[in-house]
Amino acid sequence: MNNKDQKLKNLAEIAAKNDRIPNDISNYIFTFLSKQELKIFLGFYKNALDKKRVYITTSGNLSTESLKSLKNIYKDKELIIEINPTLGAGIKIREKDMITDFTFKKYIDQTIDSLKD
Amino acid sequence: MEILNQFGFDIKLFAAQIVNFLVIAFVFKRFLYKPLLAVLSKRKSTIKQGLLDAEKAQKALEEAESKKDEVLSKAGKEAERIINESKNQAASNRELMLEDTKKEIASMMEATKAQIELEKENFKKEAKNMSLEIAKQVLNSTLSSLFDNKEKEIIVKKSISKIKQHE
Repeated sequence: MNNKDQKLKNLAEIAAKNDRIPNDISNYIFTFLSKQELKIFLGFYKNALDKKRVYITTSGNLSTESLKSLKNIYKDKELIIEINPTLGAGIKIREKDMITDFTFKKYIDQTIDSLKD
Repeated sequence: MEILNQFGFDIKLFAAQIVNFLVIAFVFKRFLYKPLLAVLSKRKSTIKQGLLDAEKAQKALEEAESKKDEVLSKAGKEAERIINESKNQAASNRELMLEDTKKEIASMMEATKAQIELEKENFKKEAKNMSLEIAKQVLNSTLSSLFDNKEKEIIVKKSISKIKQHE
């Protein structure tokens, strides 16, 4: 990683600390960064966001109790909850690059794939 | 002698005639008879040679005729032999070719059978996968209405407890 990339990474980490990218940073990136550098910045920004976020997908609304349990598990993380009814039931969690899938859809897919070949 | 005289015989004339005859005979013999004989002899030998040559030619012709027949007969036999050999060879080749063709057909049949079996297996596999895929799609499309909220909640709780165990 060269100096320029390191600077972009630092900038992305500072921007990810807030809910929105601060105005001075957004002005800077849109004024001074090339298209390629912007891509690199967004990559770093996504990684920085992923570090502090956990993406949870369920088939329906989570109960307060379940939500509390999840917040206990991922104490320092921001939970991003999505609802996808096609999952059937269960829960799917993505933390950085790791995906934990306890959904019924996944179970069916695995069962059917194991029946193939 | 007188009698001879009475008949007009003149001994001198007679002697002269004898001498004359001898001279003519000598001249004839010396200059005419020998060359004539030589010519005759030569002609005779020529004719003899001609006859001999004709006889030889006749013999040669007869021999040639005889040889011709022999050669023709031999050629006929040879031709017959070649034809027979060719027929035998052709029959043998035909048998071999038939045998080869039979083997080839058998081998092709085996290969085709194997191919058909393989394709059958592949088709079965494909049909199975396809039906499983359809089942998967059907299940996925009905997943949203498969569980009620209570069941969903139970499953989520179980999942969370599993996650806790992992953590």
